[in-house]
Amino acid sequence: MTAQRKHRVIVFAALLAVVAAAVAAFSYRMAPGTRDAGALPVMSEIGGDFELTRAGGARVRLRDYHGRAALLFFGYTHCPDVCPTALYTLKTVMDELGSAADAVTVAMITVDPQHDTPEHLDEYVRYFHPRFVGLGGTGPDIEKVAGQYRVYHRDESTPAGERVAHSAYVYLLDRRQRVRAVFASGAGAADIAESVRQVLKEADAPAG
Amino acid sequence: MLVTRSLMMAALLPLSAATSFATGDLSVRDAWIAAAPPNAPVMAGYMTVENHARGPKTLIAATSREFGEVTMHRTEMHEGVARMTHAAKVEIAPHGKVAFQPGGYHLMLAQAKRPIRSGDAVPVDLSFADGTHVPVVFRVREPARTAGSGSPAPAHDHASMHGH
Repeated sequence: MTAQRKHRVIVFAALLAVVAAAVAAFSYRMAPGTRDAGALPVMSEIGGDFELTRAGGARVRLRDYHGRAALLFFGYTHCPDVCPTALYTLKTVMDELGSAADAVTVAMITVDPQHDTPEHLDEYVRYFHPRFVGLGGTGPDIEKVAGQYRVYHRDESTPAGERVAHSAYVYLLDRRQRVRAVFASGAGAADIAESVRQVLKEADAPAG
Repeated sequence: MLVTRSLMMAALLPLSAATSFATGDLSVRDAWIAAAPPNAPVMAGYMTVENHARGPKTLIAATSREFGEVTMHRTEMHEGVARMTHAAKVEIAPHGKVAFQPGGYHLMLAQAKRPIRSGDAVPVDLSFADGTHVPVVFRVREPARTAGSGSPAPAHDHASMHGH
């Protein structure tokens, strides 16, 4: 491990603690009986606009989705277990939302831009839901967005196979692109859908 | 609606009852592969392995004529980070069982020889340290929908929310 890499790992570990604390706080709020409107404060310490590449080469910014809620997931296609499980959960979320799903963008952002081209990723995510979006980009593009969302990812490939250790959170963004909830791997589709409904509802109010 | 569902359940029961595979003191049930996009480089296989013997059994390899490479892995979640580790062997305690399930142990199936689609049956041969082989047929399907909530509320409570 190079010194630079080691440094990076330490930084990510520190950032990770922040996300872990946020998730713990969020999970606490999601305890049965404590759910109510407004239970999703803005998590201003994470998130922000980014620029990535869609299939076909078009550059996409998060703010292009202004006015829509978004669910972001960071993963990679050479991931047999965690990533398909998360995408199936997000598909179920869309099904649960019914017509409200029309106002929600679901995007998978690759943490393995070397292997996941935007085209490959797009074909991959559309299998789970025709409206899922796959976002890729250059190495620096991915580093930047991963930093913004405190996504830990590290290439741990061996000659035996490609592997990327990565944080497996799903981020809920409101219509103003602010992070409102972070779901740990294994979160239920119904809980995610309920939070999505909350942010869609409140955005209908004039005060937003 | 309810009638339809019970009829479907009844139709499915014989199928699920049949999906158990045994050799000697070892049996495998609930063997399935998560359906994945056609361009997915890898797929995951899940199952429950049961050891009915008085001594431990060790699963050391899995092979399939449908895949160039099958390896055993375990996903470990630590503070939100998913890390996949290779498992050279998996021990099943006497009269115990090991569940291969999403977020834990799984077979990683790579280099598919043909497109593997939902509904397909994929033969996998499991090898144990004592020389036992258990041939298993994995069914390719979507994962069962989770209850969706950590709360003990029954699923129909959520379903009723569609009405508003």
